[in-house]
Amino acid sequence: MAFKSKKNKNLSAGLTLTSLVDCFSILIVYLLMATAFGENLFEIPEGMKLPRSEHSDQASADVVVQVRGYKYSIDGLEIPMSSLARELKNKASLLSNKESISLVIQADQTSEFSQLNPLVLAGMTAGFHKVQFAVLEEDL
Amino acid sequence: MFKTKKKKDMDFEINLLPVISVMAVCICFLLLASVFVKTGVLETKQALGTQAATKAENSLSLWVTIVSDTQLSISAQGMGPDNRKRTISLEQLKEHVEGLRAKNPNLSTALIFPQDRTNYSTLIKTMSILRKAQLRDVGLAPL
Repeated sequence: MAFKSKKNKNLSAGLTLTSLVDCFSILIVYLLMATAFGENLFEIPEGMKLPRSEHSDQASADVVVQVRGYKYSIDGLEIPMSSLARELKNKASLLSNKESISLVIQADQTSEFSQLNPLVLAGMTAGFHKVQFAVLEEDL
Repeated sequence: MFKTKKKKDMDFEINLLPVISVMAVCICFLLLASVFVKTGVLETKQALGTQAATKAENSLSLWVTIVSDTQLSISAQGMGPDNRKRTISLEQLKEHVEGLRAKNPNLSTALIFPQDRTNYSTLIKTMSILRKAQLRDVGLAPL
């Protein structure tokens, strides 16, 4: 009888979960602090490394143009260099009701300026008020 | 008898299992939904061909020519002795601009003149340094 009671007592021992809850709480707080919800307005294509910048503004992209070599694409559709200005003008006319329209250029960090120059010129000709370069925010 | 009952009531334990379950779900959600890479933009003003540019050319402005990935040629327009061209390294740019701004607090415009072979990364670094040095209007001159 005495033996049975001892066994029963041993079985009812519980785990101390307080330390586990503490760890989970710290993890949740860290994840909440480290994450950026809804800050990325554009997707970075595979194989493209954006340049890093210590200073940057929050993105407000109306039209995003991706540059790969001398190839330009808007919404995944490749645009020949010759019709870049015309295409951007069409896009700008669709957004003419907005106070200021912005063009975001997304290019790999190894690109040369000669690849971006036609796009900068086309954007300015098409009437985009802001020409912006997409960058990765660098932690200070 | 009364004392024993009170002691028994004080000796309770909170059931932490549901709390742990909720936290585990929260952690999974945060890990899946969060974006750790922060993207931003660097804005550029039209440097040439507009009224704004003409105004900028006439007033105080800093002209930065990117010579190579590490070297810049810099001249401060409308600032007397600082007007002459100087070649500096990219690392020296911030210090140089801060020095110029200390002499001329009204300096807030910079024009960047890249070459056709200028690396995009170098261009962004230059723009970033200028913006960090409190120059609000950083323009880019097309080729």
